[in-house]
Amino acid sequence: MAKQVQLDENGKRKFGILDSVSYAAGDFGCNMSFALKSTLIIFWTQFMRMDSALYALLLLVVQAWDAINDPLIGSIIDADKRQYKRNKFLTYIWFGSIGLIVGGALCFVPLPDIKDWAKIVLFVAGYVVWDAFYTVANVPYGSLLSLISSKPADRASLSAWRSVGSMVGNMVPMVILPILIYDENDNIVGWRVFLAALIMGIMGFIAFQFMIRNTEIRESTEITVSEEAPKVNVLKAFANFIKNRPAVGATIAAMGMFLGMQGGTAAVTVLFQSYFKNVQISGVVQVFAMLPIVLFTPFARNMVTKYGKKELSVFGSLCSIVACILMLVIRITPDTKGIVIYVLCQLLNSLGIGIYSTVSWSMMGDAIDYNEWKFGAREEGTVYSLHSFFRKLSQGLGPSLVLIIMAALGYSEYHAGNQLFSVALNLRYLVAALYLLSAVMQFVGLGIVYNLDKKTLEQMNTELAARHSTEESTSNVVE
Amino acid sequence: MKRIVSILLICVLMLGMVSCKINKEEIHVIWSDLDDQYLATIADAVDRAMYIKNIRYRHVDSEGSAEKQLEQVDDALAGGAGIVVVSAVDAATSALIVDKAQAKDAYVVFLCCDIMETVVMAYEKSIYINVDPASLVEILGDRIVTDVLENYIAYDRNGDGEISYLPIGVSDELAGCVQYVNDKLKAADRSALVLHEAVLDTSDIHAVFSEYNDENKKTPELLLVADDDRVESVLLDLRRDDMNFNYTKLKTHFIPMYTVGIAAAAGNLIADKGEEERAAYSVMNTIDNGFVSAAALEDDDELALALCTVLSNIVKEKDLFDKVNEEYLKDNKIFVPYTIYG
Repeated sequence: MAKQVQLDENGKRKFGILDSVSYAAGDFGCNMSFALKSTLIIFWTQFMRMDSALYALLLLVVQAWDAINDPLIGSIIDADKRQYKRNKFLTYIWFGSIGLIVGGALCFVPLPDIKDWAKIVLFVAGYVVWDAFYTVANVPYGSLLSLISSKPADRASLSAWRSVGSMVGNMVPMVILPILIYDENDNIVGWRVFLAALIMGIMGFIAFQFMIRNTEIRESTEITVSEEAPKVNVLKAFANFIKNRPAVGATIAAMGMFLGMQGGTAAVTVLFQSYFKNVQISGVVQVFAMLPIVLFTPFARNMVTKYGKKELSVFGSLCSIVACILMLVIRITPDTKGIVIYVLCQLLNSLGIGIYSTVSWSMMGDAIDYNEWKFGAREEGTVYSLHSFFRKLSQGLGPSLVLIIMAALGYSEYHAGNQLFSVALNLRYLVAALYLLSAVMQFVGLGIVYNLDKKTLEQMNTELAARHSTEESTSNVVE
Repeated sequence: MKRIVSILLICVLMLGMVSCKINKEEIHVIWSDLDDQYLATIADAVDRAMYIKNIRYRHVDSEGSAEKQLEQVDDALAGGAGIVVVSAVDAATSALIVDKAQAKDAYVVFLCCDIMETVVMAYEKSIYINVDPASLVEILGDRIVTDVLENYIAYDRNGDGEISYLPIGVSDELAGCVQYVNDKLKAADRSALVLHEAVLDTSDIHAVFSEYNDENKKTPELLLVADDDRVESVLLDLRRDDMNFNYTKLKTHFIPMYTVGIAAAAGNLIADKGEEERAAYSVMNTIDNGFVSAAALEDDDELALALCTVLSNIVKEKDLFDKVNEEYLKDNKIFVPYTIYG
């Protein structure tokens, strides 16, 4: 006898674990294509043999497109007023998921012997197509949360499970991919990457279908996915943003993360290829290094309550700084002993970064409140969009700049996984320096610029609450 | 006054004596010619191994000049080097280097080069490390046997039940390899490799292959190239006119090819690519791309490890061959077996 579905007061399926798991499946699906992004540099420079400087330039171009792509597709979705059988967002996600079956693979078409101009066209076209389908799936997916439930506890559960889906979607490829796509000489094998991308596209599609089939829409509120863009004076908005110390501090910290850590992804891969000569364990090492943050996350809420977000984040950044300095000064030899030392340093470093990342978005929320507290206006859209702009700028600049630095240090894409030892040694120090840059920017942003410590935050929240209460009672009197 | 001058002179003398003292930890490596791709890869492996073992050293390039090399040895020894590692420009130079080292009671390690054995090995502080030439037969032979047995039908293009081979370049080791392969094939109840034609000059390859047509299928079915320097010209010849052998990764028009070494340049095979890419393209890339089956090569990492182990033993005043793989030791020389790439 089939289990009877429990219904809520509106006749919808009662919120439960199925909602959370199916929502998590959506982020898993997104990551089935996004997880391959870190392989782009190595694939295009070492396998496709595209010049590093040219690739750095093209990366900037497509990242600029990425910044335009999000609001463009967001406004297309918002402008679509048609009635859909199930739900507009689910329909767009379904459409995006079909494109993503091959979208990811289009970025990894293994044709290293075609003409240089053809490679440029192939890269740009492949990235644009992938990016478009990814945005079509990902943007409405994020907004879907508020349609599944309006209850804060339900939304908290959805958000937490989204993180689980994201973590699984990231960790599984992180561990398995290096084992599959590199040969015994630590060289990337192009057709294997292409095949992996296709398989991951199919897995992502399956995950999306699971999500779509099991998502119960309980709220009918019209949600817009693109940020409202009132006519604003850009210079004035920027000037206000600069005056908002918490916003600037949180942005500096985020920029540090993208410039240093994420920008250094290619350097880390070459580190494992040519320095440790064992690229296939790189994924396992990186996942292992994420353990501290996985262990920390359940305690995050209590620790934030006890110590404060700024205080905790600054402590985290100091841990990272110590870890990175150790990474620089300790002899990390290209053998098993060296890998162990590297992993230990990364454990400490990732704890520091992880502490920050658990509170980073809520710190921006506090920055919005600060704007209202100090200047009388929230300017939510402006603050978030400028923060996002600088994040995307760093996301685009980071990998390109690092690739140029790698070339200056002797990296040659034509030597693939067999860089000279002197070059590999340079990159070993570059990786440590990039992580240190991240940690220092995090410390500067959160420790020096960000000025909402626990006491100030309490004061701000108290005064804002009082202000809102006064405004509410004033408006009630007027009515 | 005289007393002060005397004391000063004694101090200067003592200082001089101290500076002339042989410092076992002062290691100099003198490469014969780093423009040689093979030596360049050995040098890179040594660089890596020395770093792992935390052995500090200085290195110079003799640029192929025996005279320059001898000067460099003199400079190293005069500077107090206790250990000199040399890839000698030639065997005659090795004998002269031994004399110089012996005069200074310094250790000399000959690495990956020819030596005048009687002279070199007569000095008790002389060590020789090189690849084991005899191992080539077994290492490469085993690989050929494995490939032939797994792909016999594909290799036997004309279907006559035999695989004909074409040696390109004269090599005693390759001749021994063929004998080894044939013994193994016989034990596996397969026909031995049959000699197609002996080719001494690589320009003859095209003539050999131009006799091929679909009817007579008169083509060598396996190529044995004596050294990697010839691989580029062999591949170019195989791709000439309408032959199109070993041109793509598809195996329909593929003649299995085996060689020795992977460092030789092969940039002319990608003549339409940029200068930097062509400069970096080597026989190793041809194997990665599937145009050449496999190559036997010197095990750079093991050679470097053996060197570092010996240097470490000298510095720590241990037995010279302590912790050196016993299988590598032959008559107080260290011979590291070949390995396979591909």
